[in-house]
Amino acid sequence: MAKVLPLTPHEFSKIRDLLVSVCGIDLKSDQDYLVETRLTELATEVGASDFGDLHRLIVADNVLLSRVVDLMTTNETLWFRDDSCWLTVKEKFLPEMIAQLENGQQKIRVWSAACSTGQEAYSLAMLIDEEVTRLGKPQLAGRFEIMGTDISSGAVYLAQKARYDGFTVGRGLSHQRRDQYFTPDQSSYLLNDDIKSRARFQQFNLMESFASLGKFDLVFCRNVAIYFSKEFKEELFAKIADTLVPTGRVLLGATESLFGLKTPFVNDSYGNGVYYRVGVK
Amino acid sequence: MSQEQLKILVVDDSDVLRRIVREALGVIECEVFEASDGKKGLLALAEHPMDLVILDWHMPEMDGLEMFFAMKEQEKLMSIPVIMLTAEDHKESMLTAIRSGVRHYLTKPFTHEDLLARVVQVLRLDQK
Repeated sequence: MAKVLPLTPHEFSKIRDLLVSVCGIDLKSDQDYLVETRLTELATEVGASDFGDLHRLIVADNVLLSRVVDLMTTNETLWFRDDSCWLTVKEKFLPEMIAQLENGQQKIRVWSAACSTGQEAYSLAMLIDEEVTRLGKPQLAGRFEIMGTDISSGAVYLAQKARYDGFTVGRGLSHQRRDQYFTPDQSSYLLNDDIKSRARFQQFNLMESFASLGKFDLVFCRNVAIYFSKEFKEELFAKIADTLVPTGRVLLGATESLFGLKTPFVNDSYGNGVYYRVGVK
Repeated sequence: MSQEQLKILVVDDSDVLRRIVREALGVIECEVFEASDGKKGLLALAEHPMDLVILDWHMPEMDGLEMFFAMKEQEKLMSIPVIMLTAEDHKESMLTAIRSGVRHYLTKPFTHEDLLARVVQVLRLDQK
């Protein structure tokens, strides 16, 4: 395979402008090395002779663009990340959702919008399992539909496998839950089929239209918007607002907020947990 | 290349790091080989055909970049993909490695999710 020529300042400027305008990834002026170190592999694979060539290919191909976004961002997640968020889900949202199901709603749909390797979606599946079991209503678990999406096809592949190493399984997961929901297999842990079957995953780019996803009762959009420019964040949250049912909510990462952004959302809180719902128009 | 037959060589002078990476790679059910420096890494490559090398930079005897260049000189080894996983985070070093043909460059501390997602992509497991 032919070598890709080193990134020039002009090419960096073009790729930087493209990343901020199309996907909202806002690189600093001294982060040229990030473009070269993370995108050379892709440039080689698609036969680009230099980064100007890669820029032309990215502009013409959305699939390629989503791979660029994947390579420029970081995959990191843990089980039950942020206590206050999960306390809100357990004590505020789930009792309401269970009541909705008992009052005739067919299903509750939840979206983990940047699911990485699946921990957030599966944490929710475990929590639902615990709550419906505690209430003596295990049949309700199957009426929660959990969807996880991520821009990284590698992360989605790993989420679908639902197999985690000892270190990863220990990040945020109690021994009790580990023993209850996982089966050890050599040095890894396999998530039990019952919980695994309650979430499905697909590769998805948050830059695309959300129309194909349907409506959701709850959206987790945590620690993903941090990479994006103000304009892209506003566009992202406007699209999320459109995917919500009228009573729908959004959860952000513990250190994130919509403060200073023009969005249709108002915030609300439960204990230390903050969540967002669409305000009255 | 069936997934059961995947062979990955981890070259790092830290026993702890090699153990952590070995454990992380257990998720994709591959066979993991270990070496503690570049020279031992090349010996391991001479004995077993590998699908991927995960390579530290700073090691005694022969460092990671030297091992990588030695691989590039051998027809049998030159096409084996290499992911560098190192504490070396100088911009010039990263660029040197990538411009020389290293497929991905990850700096320590790293997340298992990031390492595995890159491994899956390099080995194209997500396309099978």
